[in-house]
Amino acid sequence: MSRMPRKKLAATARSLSGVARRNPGLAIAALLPVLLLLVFFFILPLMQLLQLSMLARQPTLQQPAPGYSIANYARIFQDSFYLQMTATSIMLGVCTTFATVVIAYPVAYYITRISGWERTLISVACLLPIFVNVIVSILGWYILLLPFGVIQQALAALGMVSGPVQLLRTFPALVAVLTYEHLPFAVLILVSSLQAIPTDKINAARLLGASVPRIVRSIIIPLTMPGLVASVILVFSLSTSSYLAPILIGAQRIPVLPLSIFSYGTELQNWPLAAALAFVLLVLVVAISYAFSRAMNRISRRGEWEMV
Amino acid sequence: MLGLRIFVYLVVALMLLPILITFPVALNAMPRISFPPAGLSPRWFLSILSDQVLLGSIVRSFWLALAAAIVAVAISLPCAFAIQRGKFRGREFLEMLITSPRMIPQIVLVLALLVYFESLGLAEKFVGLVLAHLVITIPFAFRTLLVSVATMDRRLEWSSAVLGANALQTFLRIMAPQIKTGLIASFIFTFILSFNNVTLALFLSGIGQRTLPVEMFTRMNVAGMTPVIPAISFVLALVGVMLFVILDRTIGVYRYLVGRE
Amino acid sequence: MQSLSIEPLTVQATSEPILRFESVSKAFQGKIVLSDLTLEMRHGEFLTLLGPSGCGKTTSLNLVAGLIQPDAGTIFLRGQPANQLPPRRRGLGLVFQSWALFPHLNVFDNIAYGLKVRSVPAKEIDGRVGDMLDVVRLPGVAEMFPSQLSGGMQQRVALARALVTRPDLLLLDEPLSNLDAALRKEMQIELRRIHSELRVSTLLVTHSQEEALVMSDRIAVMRSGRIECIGTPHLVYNRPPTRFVCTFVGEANILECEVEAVAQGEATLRRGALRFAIEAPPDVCVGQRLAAAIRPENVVMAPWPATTEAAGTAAVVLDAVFKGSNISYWVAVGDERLHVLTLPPLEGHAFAPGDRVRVTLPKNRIILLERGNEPHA
Repeated sequence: MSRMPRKKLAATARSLSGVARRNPGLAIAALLPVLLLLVFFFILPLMQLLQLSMLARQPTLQQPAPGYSIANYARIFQDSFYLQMTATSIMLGVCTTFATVVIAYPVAYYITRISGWERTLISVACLLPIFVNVIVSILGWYILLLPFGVIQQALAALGMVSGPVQLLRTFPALVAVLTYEHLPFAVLILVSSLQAIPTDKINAARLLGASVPRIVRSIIIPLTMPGLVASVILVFSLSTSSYLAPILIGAQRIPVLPLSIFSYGTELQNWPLAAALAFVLLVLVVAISYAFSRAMNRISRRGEWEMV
Repeated sequence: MLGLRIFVYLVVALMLLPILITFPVALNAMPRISFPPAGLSPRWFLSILSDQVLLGSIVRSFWLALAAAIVAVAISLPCAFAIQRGKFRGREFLEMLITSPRMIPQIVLVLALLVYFESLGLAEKFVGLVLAHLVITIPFAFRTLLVSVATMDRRLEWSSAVLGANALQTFLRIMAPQIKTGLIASFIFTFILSFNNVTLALFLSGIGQRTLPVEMFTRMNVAGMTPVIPAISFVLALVGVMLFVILDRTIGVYRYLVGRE
Repeated sequence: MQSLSIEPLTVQATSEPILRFESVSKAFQGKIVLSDLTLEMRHGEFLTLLGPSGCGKTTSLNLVAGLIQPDAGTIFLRGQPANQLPPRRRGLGLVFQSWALFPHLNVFDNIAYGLKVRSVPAKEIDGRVGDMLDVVRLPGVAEMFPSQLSGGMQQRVALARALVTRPDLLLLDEPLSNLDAALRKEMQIELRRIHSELRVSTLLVTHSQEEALVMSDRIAVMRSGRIECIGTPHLVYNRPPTRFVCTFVGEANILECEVEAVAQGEATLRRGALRFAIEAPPDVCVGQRLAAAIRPENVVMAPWPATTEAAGTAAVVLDAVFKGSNISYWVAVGDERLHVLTLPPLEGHAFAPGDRVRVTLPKNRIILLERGNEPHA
């Protein structure tokens, strides 16, 4: 019996995982269009925007290259107007997220326990805002919220109000519309998450004598934590950055960052300030999402969740 | 469960209400947005057909969405293959990069593109709008296609190879049929995403070049609204619902919209 | 390491082997799966690679098919080096464990696939597919889709698909694992029949020793990327060279013994209270330690007290389990435990726990294992 030389064994062991080396050029060619597109129309514009935010003032024909400064950011953080607006944006996001998740969770749970046409019907209703244009949704709410509109008439019929009630341009109304808009996202994620819970775990708990609230608290919620976190992060970032509902429903009464970004970006033509506000929004959303994710991480010790 | 059931159906009713309300409002005989409508008349539904501006915007929306969907799917598919099957390092990073446009607020992106396009001379051009739509639809198309590619059974390809087929034959006869459903789903969802997008179009399209949602928005916000807007809204809603039902019964909506999680 | 080949000397291959591994090595992600594997397979034979999971048998199969490349060494197909040859030019048939039928094609199109990609004329395809369906005994399913077929039927379709191109080498990767027990037995016989009817060289990979014994012309027992022994089923079962092969293929009582005496070509081995005789191997000496084995069905058990020609060793029955076609006993010989299998008695009762018996280990049934040969566990 001859033994294989030690060296040869070691060399064999060191060889790479053995799949035939494909043509690497093929992979590059496959990735190129997408990567080029993203570099030129995503990364570059963002970097340019960042640079823009650090210009002292709007470039004009007379002064095409003003100097750099962080005056814009300073202005944002010092002016109480902007601070107020930031706080309002965050508040809006938090309220919307809370309402959305609280509604979406039981609905998602119900969806996973039924099938057939009932499931399609409920899914249609809940996913409507994605399939039907968001303008349509807002229009519908607009009509409902009009003074002497449907909601007011219903409230009057119940004897709760008399005289015209201003529902439009209120904070609760805006939260309602944003919740409506973003419910589908939360439902989608939560359905997927809840569906993954195997029923045998729940049955085991029932056999052991656990009550329904107990099962929900100790089994279902922990197992769907990743989905909950993902939907919270998604809804928060979408609603805080939302533009259409605030402008159509809230109008100028509820100042939020996106509105300001746009008015400076278009009407008022102060791009550096608009850019600065945009980055403040971006950092805000990313930071809060990350912090939330980390906090949840620590509470239930489960490793990283994806930021959707 | 009963309490839950009631709650869910309440939610369903509230979800349907804003859409349903457009119908009676659109039937208003008077050019006013009011409920209950003052007199019933189908004139606004009919007037859609003669509203050239509105029709033009519908056509524009359609072509924009079609172009965006075709290109997005076409260039995302090879990308999905490369990421799923490639053996190079940094795949995860690339995957994150490709899906990152979805993670930033759309406004920030729009502002960035607005400024960028101005400097390139692309502002208010159709091409610019298509490119912008591509940036936000590609992450989505890529993600759903990745699911499709990931669930392919490689042993089918190996069997095909051992049976004597070359790479092209294996791709056409064995691989393509497997991802067919995923491709169609990806295309349709991308189309819808693009068609419904307002924010991008709002700031990147020219005055005479509005897409449908933008046209609707302008009339709601600025120009003054007649019941033709609720009318077209209702029509859009019907189309959306029908599309959803068809998709859910054939492809299964949840699987494709949620992706790999 | 040379594989231990124990076939009788008369059967030497004079024709070229259809498949040959020459010092083939393969590693995945730093872990060695095959190391210096050398193997020859003759035309027309049914060779089985038998071994536990992780021993490298499926990797070997994939190497033959060309789906992966060896890190070192060469694979020869029909005498020609084949390392660089792509799978589609190797002229093989392959059936996966999961059968891998194309779900979007019906049975006919699945089977015809190999012919279609070679542009065989349609009429000929019809004929050959029909013939193949007859060979695998599946008439009438041509229009159905794989999802509509049972496991057994899917497997026959997979076989038909692999064989319709008339390959001279058929590769089977654990084809019977997804079938239930009854179907498995049936398919073992079917595979054997198809093999002899079509005279196609067949390489089977399995972890089931029963399949290997039933179907093979030769069995190669693999372990940790190496072939421990190769030979006919009869020889692998009755004369296993190593402890691993002895216990992997069939059951055995392993006895670490000491040579007590040597006389007239016979050596007496002793293990505790157990004494038995074997043919004295060359250069045996008193006091030497040897490992011997005997299969449970070969231990002779008789009641105690002994008759005049008392032979055998005293033992006590510990446990008796009636298994239908046989009875499984555990007996204690002193401190030693022996597993014994007997047929149910024609008359009287079987032994019961507590009974005293005598056990005999027939000389020609003792298996002598390689001395001190215990490769890493």
